[in-house]
Amino acid sequence: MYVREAHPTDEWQMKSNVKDDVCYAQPKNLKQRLDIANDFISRFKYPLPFGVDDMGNSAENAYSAWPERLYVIDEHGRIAYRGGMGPFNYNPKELRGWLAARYGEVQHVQHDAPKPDDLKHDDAKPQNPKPLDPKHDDPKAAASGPAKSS
Amino acid sequence: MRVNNAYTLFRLRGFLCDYGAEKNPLRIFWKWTIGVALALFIIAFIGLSLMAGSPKDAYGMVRYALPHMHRGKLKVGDDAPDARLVALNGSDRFHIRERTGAKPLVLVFGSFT
Repeated sequence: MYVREAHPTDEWQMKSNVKDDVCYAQPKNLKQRLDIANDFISRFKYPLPFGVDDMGNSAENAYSAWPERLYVIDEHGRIAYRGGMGPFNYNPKELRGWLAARYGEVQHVQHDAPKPDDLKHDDAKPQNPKPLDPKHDDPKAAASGPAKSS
Repeated sequence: MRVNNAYTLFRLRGFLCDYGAEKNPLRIFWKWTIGVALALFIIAFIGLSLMAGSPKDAYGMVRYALPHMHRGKLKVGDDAPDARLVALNGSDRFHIRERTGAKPLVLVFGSFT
């Protein structure tokens, strides 16, 4: 999920951004935001499904996601894992361990970059979450129980 | 330049003498309060500069980062909020909650810079 830039040239630019040639001003409209996101995708060949937050920053605000953050939403539509606030508490390793404890070792699956046709769900409505099994909140309990991902 | 330095020393000496002779407890209180606050501010700024890398980065952190960093109120077990996202082609939209259900969904928030 692409959210507002953390170190744009017109705000708090870091030396590392200049060194890595990642220099963008803070986008003022959605097109600029999409241009940066697409540049990111093409430079890193990012293979996972990708979404861009709107200019009202609704996803960022809903998830307190800036500058970077990790979440897991479980099968019931509830927050199952909430990572710390980046950059200091952004910890993919911890998430990997959490996922392994709950769902078994992570298997690497080759994804293709998302195609526009795959993302045409504008008319679909959000699903209603099923009731949460309290056991699912506890990674230790989940690890000891039959909690395998489908 | 030499005259200026002498004048500064003279003023400093005068300040210290005045300070030593200060009898008004309210003025002493405010002098100490402002002095301590100033010292703490300088120490905090130096600490932040060391942590962030430079005084410029410390300013950037305070000016641009801290106002936007929120711990948030979401907790494990809460319903995942929905948000409408834009696809990379710019014309399609989708909701986060459309992607939840059959499998757990990992959300990775971030930006390029």
